[in-house]
Amino acid sequence: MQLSFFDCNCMIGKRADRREGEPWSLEELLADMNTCGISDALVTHALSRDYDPVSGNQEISRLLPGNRALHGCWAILPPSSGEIPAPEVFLREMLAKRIVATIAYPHTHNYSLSEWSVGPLFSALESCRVPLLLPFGQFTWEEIERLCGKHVSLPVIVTGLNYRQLRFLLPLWEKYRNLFVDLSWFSIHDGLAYLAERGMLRQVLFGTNYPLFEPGAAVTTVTYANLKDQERTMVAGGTLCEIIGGIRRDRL
Amino acid sequence: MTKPGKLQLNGLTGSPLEGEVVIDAHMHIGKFHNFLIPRSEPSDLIASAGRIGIQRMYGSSTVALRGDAASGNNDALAFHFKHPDTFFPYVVFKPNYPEEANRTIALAETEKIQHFKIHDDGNDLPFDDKRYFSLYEYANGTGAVILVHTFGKKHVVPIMKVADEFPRIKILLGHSGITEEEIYSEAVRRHDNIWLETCSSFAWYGLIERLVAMAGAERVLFGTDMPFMSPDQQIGRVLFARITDEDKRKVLGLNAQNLFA
Repeated sequence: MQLSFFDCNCMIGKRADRREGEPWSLEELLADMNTCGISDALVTHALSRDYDPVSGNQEISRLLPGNRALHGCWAILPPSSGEIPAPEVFLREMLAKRIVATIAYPHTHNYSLSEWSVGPLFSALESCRVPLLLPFGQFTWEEIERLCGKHVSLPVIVTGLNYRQLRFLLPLWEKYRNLFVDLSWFSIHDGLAYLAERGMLRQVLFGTNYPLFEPGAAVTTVTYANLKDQERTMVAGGTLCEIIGGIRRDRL
Repeated sequence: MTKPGKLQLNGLTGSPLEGEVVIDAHMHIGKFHNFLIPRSEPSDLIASAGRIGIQRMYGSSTVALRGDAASGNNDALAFHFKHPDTFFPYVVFKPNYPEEANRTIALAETEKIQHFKIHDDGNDLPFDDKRYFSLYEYANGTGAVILVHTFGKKHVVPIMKVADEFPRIKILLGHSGITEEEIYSEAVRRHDNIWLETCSSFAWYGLIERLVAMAGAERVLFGTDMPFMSPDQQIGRVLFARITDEDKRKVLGLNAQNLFA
């Protein structure tokens, strides 16, 4: 069975913490996607995390024309800081440029995930159903609980979550189905089959954590999983396509 | 898409590695205290191995690693007796129970098991502590394999001293390259009796290639760490590595076949 993989956790560009030998260029990314049978990737730019969100966002916008396999993800900041435009303007700009998701680094960028800080932006994202990525290490589980509860229609995708977090996740998944995780480090033994049995498989998305991790490891996490074909298709990219397909441009 | 190699194609399609020698040199039986392992029954492990095509698994009991070596080693033996061609136990040796040391070694001697596992989980004793020496003296006499849990210099530096002092022990460094890669490189460069094992939840980009470059493909062994982690993830690190299929076969099982012979 030939699967169509859509990577929700992929970074491009020169990273501050690059280890020797790790790829950073567009050409290397496209070559690795080709080797691993990954047809599409949601990409963020290293500069958005490591230097300045606005500069990184511009770089991502520059990469997209001519690269149909790539889908953009912009970093956010609290609108009050004035570094990004007001929520509605920000959304209109991003959607016009094929940017289909946002990412927040509150820990790295020194801001709060609370409503008084980013609440208006989250409400705008929620209204348009634009997903928000939150890398593991950038939040507390209490913040995730508040965020998912306050913005129940906002798809929240936790990326780079490790395999030791089920005792946090399972109670959250019993309450919130707008919370998703990527599987790049979520390598629970027979975990996908276990979550399928519990009716929670839809919450797991294919992600590679490229270029930190080997994309082939994420691929075989899906291809060798003890799943039915339909479930495998869902994890490989079906659910992410649904999330992105659910973006409401008409709400702007 | 460019034409994939045979083993890479297995990874892309999720087909079992039929006709290949695939041996898991590092796995476990049991649960763990600080996270949920939802599928850890022996039947779950056998099923996971079967989907990939792993024919033999070398594993230790997590009860033993957490402190109760006597009970855990018996669990591992029971699993072996039930699946004598598939599961092979590492006998766990805990240095903070010196009163059990002789019994642990006697168990291995009686059951003709020449693979041991050491892990400082819970006790934090360095691997060159004298309390390990009864094991090292025995293993050096028989030429046994010792799988060592490692996380960089903290573990590799003391075990290099052991490798010097007990040159007949075959030392397998678990989680090789997980951090501080240079110490693993130094270990294999300086010691002919050290091998590298691959399992790590951090699927670092290019690590398998670097391990093969530092040790030679003949001294790198595939491991999964299941059920801590998914073997489905671990196998991809080797199947998609940028090395030849011939070298992948050595890593996947041929080297383990030789080491455990």
